[in-house]
Amino acid sequence: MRVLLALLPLVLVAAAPVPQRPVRVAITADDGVFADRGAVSADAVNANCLGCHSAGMVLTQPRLTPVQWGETITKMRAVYKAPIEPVDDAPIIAWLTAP
Amino acid sequence: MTTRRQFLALTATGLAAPALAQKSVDLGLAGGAPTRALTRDFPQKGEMILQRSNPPLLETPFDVFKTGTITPNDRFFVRWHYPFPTDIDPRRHRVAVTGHVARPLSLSLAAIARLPRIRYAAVNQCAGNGRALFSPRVAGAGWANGAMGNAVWEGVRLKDVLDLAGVKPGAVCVRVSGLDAPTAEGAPDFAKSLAIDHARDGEVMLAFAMNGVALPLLNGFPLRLVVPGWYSTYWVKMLDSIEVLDRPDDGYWMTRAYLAPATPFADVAPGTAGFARVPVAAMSPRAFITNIAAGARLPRRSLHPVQGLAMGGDSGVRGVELSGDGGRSWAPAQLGPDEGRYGFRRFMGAVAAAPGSARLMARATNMAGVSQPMRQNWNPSGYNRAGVEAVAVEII
Repeated sequence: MRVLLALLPLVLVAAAPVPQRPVRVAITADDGVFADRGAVSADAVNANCLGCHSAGMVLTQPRLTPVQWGETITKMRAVYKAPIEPVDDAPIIAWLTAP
Repeated sequence: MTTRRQFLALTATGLAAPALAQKSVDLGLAGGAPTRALTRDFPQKGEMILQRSNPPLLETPFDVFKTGTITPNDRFFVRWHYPFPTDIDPRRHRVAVTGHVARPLSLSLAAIARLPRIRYAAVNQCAGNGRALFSPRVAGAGWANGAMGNAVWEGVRLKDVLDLAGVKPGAVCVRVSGLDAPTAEGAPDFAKSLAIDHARDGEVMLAFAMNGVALPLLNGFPLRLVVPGWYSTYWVKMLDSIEVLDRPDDGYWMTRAYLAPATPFADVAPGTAGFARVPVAAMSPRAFITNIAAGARLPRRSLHPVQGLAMGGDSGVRGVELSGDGGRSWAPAQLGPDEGRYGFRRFMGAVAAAPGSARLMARATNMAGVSQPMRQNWNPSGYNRAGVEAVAVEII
């Protein structure tokens, strides 16, 4: 015991060990799916906007204009290669800007 | 403004799924979506503000910053662009050193750890920290001011790793990337670059420990880059590739993303277009009052005690001043111990405030003489928030 106590200060200043042990975690959290907003269907956003990110990305955005949401869809398509059919742009924007 | 009114509320509207009551936090945001759920569902993490579950965006609840200069690993913010492995054996991890070098290498962690060790405290802050507080609001990850933390990082110098490989004359920059990978084929792999002299400055670190233990997987286990004084976007997680380039990095993440106006504090007027943009880089000084939350009702007294945390950005904290009258008059705060020029520094003092509505402020100045602006800076990407934060209170 006395030996252990004597070593303690050394242990505290010693360099951190290099990681040796495998780490395996599970991420089970899920933001869920989008709900219809009144009469505006969420089908298009559910089909197109959950492939690369969960719903939280959308639901934490401030109120944006249809033009701003259109720019976002263009970025998702052009940069992140989201396979969003052009015909879906209008119903996506309709839901995103619905009250 | 850093409002933190915690209360129990139902799950955010717009979600179809759970009807269970869930703890949430009101971040006091104007312009929509002011609340966030609080979550304990993430591995190696305590209670965090949930911005997005996949890829995870987890914010540190502001109360955590009351506890001291070091942000605990299990409360440290998390930000991923792309999916990443959740099962990692550090004994099998390799770091490739390639490109404009004499000897391309594939290094184990054990080989890296044989190099001389370095250790220092440094603030890791997202370039978009405070984005949701911008007025007018802008699109992007909706952080309040909790996308930051201070840890003691330990590892080896990037310079020493580069020397093992032998950088050839004519090197321009060093591009670093990790194990995360885009969902869709053809999307740009996440990679960031530092100019060769910066990469070799002897401070930029490959860190395998954070506050004395291995990094949480969500913070980049088993190895991440530490670029002290610079925004977190350069602190590449799960680092597995170091590539020396003999030309500027023309990749998406250096030339199209994480760009901010080339103006002091990246500040432009809302609606401005056509301004020159440069990659976000060094951080600015900031100070945060941590002992008084926005909306607090304080009893009348001659002086109100104020405490908080300050950072200098890319140099140390020279001083912090306090104001109880919305910035008309200032008094110097006392600084806590210097725990490293790149880390948080405690400050404490007292302010006089007249009865009624009052705005309490702390303003940091760094060793380079840069002070926080009184008016919040603004840009359309929500980067580099640096203005003085006001805590609105009622003196009753």
